[in-house]
Amino acid sequence: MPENKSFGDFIHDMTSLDVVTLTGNLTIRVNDLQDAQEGNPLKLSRIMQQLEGNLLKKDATVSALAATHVSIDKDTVTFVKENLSPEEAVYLDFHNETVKAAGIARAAMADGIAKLLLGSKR
Amino acid sequence: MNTATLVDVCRDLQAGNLSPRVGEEAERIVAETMTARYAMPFPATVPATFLRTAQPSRTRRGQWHELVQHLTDLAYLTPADFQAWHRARAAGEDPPRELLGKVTVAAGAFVGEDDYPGFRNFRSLPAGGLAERLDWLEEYLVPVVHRLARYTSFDGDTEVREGYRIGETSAYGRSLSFRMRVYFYHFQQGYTNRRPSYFTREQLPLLYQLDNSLGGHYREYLPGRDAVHLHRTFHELLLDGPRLFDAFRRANRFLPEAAGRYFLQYTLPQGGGTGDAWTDREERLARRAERRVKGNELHQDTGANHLGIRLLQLALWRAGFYTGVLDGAFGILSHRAVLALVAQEREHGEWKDRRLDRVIVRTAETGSWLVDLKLVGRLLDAYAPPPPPEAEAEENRIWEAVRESGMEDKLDAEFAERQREVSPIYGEPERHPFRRAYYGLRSLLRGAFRAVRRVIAWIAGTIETLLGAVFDFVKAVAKRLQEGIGMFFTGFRYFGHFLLGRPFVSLGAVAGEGGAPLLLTRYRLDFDVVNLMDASVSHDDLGRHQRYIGRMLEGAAYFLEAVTTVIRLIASLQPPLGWLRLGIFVARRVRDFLRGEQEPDLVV
Repeated sequence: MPENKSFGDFIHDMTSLDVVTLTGNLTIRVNDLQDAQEGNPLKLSRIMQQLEGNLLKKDATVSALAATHVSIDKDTVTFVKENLSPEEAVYLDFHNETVKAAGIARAAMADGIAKLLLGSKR
Repeated sequence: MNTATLVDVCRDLQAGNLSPRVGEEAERIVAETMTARYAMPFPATVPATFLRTAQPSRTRRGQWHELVQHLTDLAYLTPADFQAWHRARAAGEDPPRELLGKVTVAAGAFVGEDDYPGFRNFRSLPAGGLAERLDWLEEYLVPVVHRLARYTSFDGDTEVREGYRIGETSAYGRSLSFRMRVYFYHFQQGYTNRRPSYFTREQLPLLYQLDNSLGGHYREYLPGRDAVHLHRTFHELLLDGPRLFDAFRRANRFLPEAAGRYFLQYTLPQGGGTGDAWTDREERLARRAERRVKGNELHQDTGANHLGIRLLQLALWRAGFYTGVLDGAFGILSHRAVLALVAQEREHGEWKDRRLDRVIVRTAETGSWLVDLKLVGRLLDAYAPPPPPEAEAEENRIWEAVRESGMEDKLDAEFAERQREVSPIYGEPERHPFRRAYYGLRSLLRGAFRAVRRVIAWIAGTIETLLGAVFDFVKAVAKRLQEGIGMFFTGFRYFGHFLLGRPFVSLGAVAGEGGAPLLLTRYRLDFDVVNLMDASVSHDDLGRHQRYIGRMLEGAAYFLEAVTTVIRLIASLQPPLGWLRLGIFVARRVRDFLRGEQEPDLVV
């Protein structure tokens, strides 16, 4: 359970699902990822360091492209950025696919938590 | 960092503490400490697995080698493929891409032909490019090898397939055909290119030959010309090496309680034997042996396929002494295997020296050797694989002995590197494509247990004798780690992404100034999802990222179950315990999982 949250908060959070898609200038300098040579998997920590650096820059231009809220009774509300360009429409498709996948992930995560806490008695 | 830290983290996870602090600690232990301790990359990818510079991947590579051997034995790959694979290994090179492609297709075909329930949870082999197929195979390597090993084991691990129909195109049919090759075909005399993949009606006459070699005791169970099914007795004989060896010994009256005698006489090429001076006792034994030769007391005929010799080679191979081909030709490697068996028993067995002296004897005049098959059969009985509970008890006693010797820490620190020492006795398959390593776990454990003091002496560095117990021990530990830690690592990737909030990250094609667009998707425990993407990602980049997440979602249920099972186990362990012993415990739980057995109640 995430720290600084009560169990009640956690249960409340679990009843809904929010998917947010953000876009902006998030290019990663591959040359700085020294372990990203052929044969070595990318080091997530280095990517995340760069990403945080990018986001903290003054000229960072990250904006929300779409946000979807799905409540437990399956009511769905999606907010989409105005005046999407044709390129951004591709991202919207991706966002919508993520919303679908999030439902499957939720089931897997809930199952995983149950098995972790209660054991797997098949 | 010691195992207590991992146990603490797993206790936190089991208590439901999935906070960032615990998640980061868990990731650090898995990705840094365990990879080095177990010589296995995390996450596993083919480039990481086969990279040989400063990359802890030896254990994972070992499992690929086992995979290729099993696929060859079951005729999904050819002996030429097997040899090409080992040529690359011996040269320290990556396997050729074309060969990797064949291996993925072969593994996919096996999964399609085996009805293991776990495979229903697997994605089918991607039809796309090699990279995707390799990702698929890396993901499923542990369960695929686990299943393959059952089909090539001679320990009686292969369950008789109820309702099997002669000629059916199943993995089981391939397993039967593999056994027919081992018992009847001369691998190196033109049979390899026309070996039948599946057991077919054409092989039925060989069962009559088998029955003849077994004294006609099984005549009533022989299949007729139009039979659809094989009698269970023949399944069991073909699948279980010790059972067939017993049947052969019974037929030829050289079981321990039988009155008969059975000697094998052979002559080694010049220089093949030892040139040591003879002791008085050796001379006496040699004269006695010579009388036996002259008195024609021998039974050298073990059938046209030399079944008796093949069975002897098989038993010596399972016990870690024989490294040659199972071909019925008793040559220098078979000879050395018997000598190694006797030497090990002399040091660590129960027989007196005078009796062991009679197991293998030089003859006085002809320059040939006599092996008393009755005695050698009795010795090998002690190496027959025990039932699973007994094997586990013996494994415990091996580790107790290692701990009591004060060598556990040393072994923990050195095992990953010292596995190399046994490499030369795998039989140089790059030059000899019909030699095999044996991977039946219960036989390996029994072999190590039989001479555990020799294992301890090897850990201490005071002996260099590797054939026998040491070879068995190294293979058994490596196999445990491949299976247990391999599965834990694969499962932990799912755990990290779906329960610890580790983001899925892809980098798109590199554009100007060495920059690559980033795509990141993060699933949080409260089921919220964040996508973060560079404004310049292409349609292809998006598709690749989406497919990656899709693949992980498909495997989530299976692997999350595997890893949560292991986490609960580790949380129940009581330190202090070494990394290798922890790996053994994990492997046992993983094996239960792979067998589809329920997690037992935990004793905390």
